[in-house]
Amino acid sequence: MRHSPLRLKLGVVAALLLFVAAILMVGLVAWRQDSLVWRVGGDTVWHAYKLDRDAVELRSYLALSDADPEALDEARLRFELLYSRLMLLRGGKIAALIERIPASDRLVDEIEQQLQALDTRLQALDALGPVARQDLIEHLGRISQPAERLIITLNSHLASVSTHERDRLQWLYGLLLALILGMSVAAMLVVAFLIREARDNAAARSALESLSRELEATARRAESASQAKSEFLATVSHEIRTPLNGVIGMSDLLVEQPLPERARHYADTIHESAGRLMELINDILDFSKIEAGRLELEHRALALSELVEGAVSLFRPHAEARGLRLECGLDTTLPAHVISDAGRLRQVLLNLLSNAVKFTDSGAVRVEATRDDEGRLCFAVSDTGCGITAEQQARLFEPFRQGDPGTARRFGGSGLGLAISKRLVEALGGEIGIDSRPGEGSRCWFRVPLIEAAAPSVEPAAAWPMDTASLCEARLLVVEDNPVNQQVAMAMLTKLGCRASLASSGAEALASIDRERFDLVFMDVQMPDMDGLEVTRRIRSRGGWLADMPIVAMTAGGPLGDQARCLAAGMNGYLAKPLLQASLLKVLHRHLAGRDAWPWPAMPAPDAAPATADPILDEEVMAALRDSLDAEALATLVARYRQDAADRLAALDVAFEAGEAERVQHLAHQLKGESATLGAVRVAALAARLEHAARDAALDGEDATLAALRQRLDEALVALDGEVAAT
Amino acid sequence: MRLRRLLPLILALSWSLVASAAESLPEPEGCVMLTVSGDISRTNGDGEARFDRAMLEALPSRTIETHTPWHEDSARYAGPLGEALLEAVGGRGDEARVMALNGFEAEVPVSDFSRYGVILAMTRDGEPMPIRRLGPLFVLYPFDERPELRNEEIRFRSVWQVARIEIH
Repeated sequence: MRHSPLRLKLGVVAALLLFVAAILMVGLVAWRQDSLVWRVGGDTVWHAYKLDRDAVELRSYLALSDADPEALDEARLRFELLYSRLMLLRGGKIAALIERIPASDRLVDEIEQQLQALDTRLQALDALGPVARQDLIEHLGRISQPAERLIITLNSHLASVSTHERDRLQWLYGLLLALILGMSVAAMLVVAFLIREARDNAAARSALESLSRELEATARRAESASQAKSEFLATVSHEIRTPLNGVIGMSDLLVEQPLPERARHYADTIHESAGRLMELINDILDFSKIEAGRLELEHRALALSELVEGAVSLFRPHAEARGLRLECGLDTTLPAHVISDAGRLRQVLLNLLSNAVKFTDSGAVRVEATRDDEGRLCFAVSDTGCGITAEQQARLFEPFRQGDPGTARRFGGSGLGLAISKRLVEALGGEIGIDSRPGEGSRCWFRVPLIEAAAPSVEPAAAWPMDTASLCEARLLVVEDNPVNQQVAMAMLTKLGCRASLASSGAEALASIDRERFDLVFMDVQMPDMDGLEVTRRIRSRGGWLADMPIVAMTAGGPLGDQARCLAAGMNGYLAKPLLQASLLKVLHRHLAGRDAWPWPAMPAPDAAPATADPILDEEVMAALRDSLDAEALATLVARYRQDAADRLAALDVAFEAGEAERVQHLAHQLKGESATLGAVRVAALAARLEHAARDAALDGEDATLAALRQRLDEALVALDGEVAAT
Repeated sequence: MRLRRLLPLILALSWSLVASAAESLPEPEGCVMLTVSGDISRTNGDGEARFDRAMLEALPSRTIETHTPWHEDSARYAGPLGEALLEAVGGRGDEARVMALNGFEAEVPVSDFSRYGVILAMTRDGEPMPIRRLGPLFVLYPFDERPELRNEEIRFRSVWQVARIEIH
């Protein structure tokens, strides 16, 4: 009823009102039936009639009787009975009725007077003499007239009352009938409304059901759309990464080439832009993965100092290039090792650092790790940059928001960095924030729970020695379906001096393995015919040497790619695209180290610093040489190097004087390779520097380098002689 | 078995009943107020049981205080119980035809006597009722005690100026 329509309510109320009215009517009729006239009217007339009749009978008895005493007794009895009729008319309800009819009341009074008079006479009699009888008859005759009139009056009154009552009752019955009719109509209306309501309800219910079915279908569509979106994102990211890997790899190679200045600038720009694009894509993928709740955290012991210093050292060259001081400080009360996710902490720290360096034009950027009041681990990156307003601070950690719209134009970036950082820190159970005022610099901080690591179970972050990179003669197989990636991988490996075969599908890879024995396989994970995981499983299942052959996955799966799946399929390592020489070398190092034959052909050392505290000879290279060569061969090799190096130096002097940059580059390159082969890392480093300078046609002032080179060579030769003598 | 054992007792009771029934009523000494006839076992002449005032007063009685349809006010009526009268005459019928001095008569079910404790009222507020006041005997139902009695049927059975009763 609560929500029923008004008409239904009205119908019910009307039916109820009519019902009450009908009940009242019935009550009224019953009350009417109970009225005096109905109850005692008949009795009254009867008694009046009997009174008249008894009087007449007494009169005729008196007329016929004789004078004996029994006749008097009989007359007295009859009079008593006559008198009792009067008493009936004078008592109870009958008297009440008679009082209401004035004429009859008067008539009864008159009869009473006559009867009392008769009574007196009758009491006084001793015997019924003829005179007495005549007197009594005469008096009785006086009763007759009022008695008859009483009957008539009563009858006429009753007739009129009856008529009146009947009319009224008819009216009441009519009204009652009307009420019952009205009630019936109202009840029928209510029933009709109820039926209609039930029908409406059924319709509404079926509408609701169909709506819910539609909603369900919509939800299913939305779900599949969301899934399709995720798949689309994964596919697109893969499709974007593949050509982008090509751009990055090729530009990586390109900047290694001697190029005219303008072309170098273009190549650098390409390299840098491609790198940024890759970062952006990684950011977006990262963010979408966090948003989808697919973020996986690891909890391992990590060294705090390595984390902070590692992050700072990455930015140091950039910061120094911009004239910024980059400082770092570690609270001494902090434990050396804590348990957390090193990768995630580094990611956040690098993001804050990159922002600080990006938005600070002068002054200093300081990174601190402290223990806060609540015993949490607090990292803070403070800068002396432009600072931001409170309003901007509020939006800072929202995705795709930057301090102000101009920022994106000026500094680039996806605007996702801080949003990702916020989610990462929250996932680690911490919080992130910024304290800043425009013009006074900013202080970005994040706090995570501090869990002290009992023992340093983490391996020291091995700084991979770039300057001891190797060329290898191992037989390698590259399994890759994408032509650009094929080219990049092959070019890089060739550049590193590796002998690599190519298989452009899983089937081809399996065929190559049947034909030839390989020391290491680079396996693309996503291939059209058979994915890398499947190929790996098939290789492993063949047993023998194939069971131990190192297989390294190459995948564009992004930074959060699933190494676990690759390892589970039987792979030994994991290489994220884009392939970079550094990472390639690292992999080669890891998986080919400790092999019996470890030839060290000439190697490029592009990033070798000119002045370092390196040892004169690389111990690892020397060890390898000693392992693979006997003393005589080593002595021959050193003698050969001494001769060749001297020749190269002489030729360099000439070419340097003549300003023949190309010649200088070539000679320096040769020298670099030979020196690296023999572990003469300082010589190799200087040769590399000279080679770079020559390639950049910036030989001015490099004569010092040449002099240093000569000096380092002498030192190296002395050391080598020592090695030869030692064997 | 049980019936056979009870049989002597039943026989004895029946005998005493017959004996008491056979016992005749005393003759009325005063003038006769009520004559009971019909299916009765105890009489005092002519197959009828005649009662004078003293005999009626000797029967078990009760007083009923009630209004009646024929009187203005409530009053105390006293007189022998109909049931007691029936027992006194050894009446065995279901109906009592009650006849009045004025010739009126009505059939009263004998069951009414026990069900309602009907009396033959002889006095009203302690005074004997004259004929003109619906005496000398008045079949009175307890109207106030049992409101359901206020109907035409009972009013018709309420015979006044009673002179004779015939049990049948």
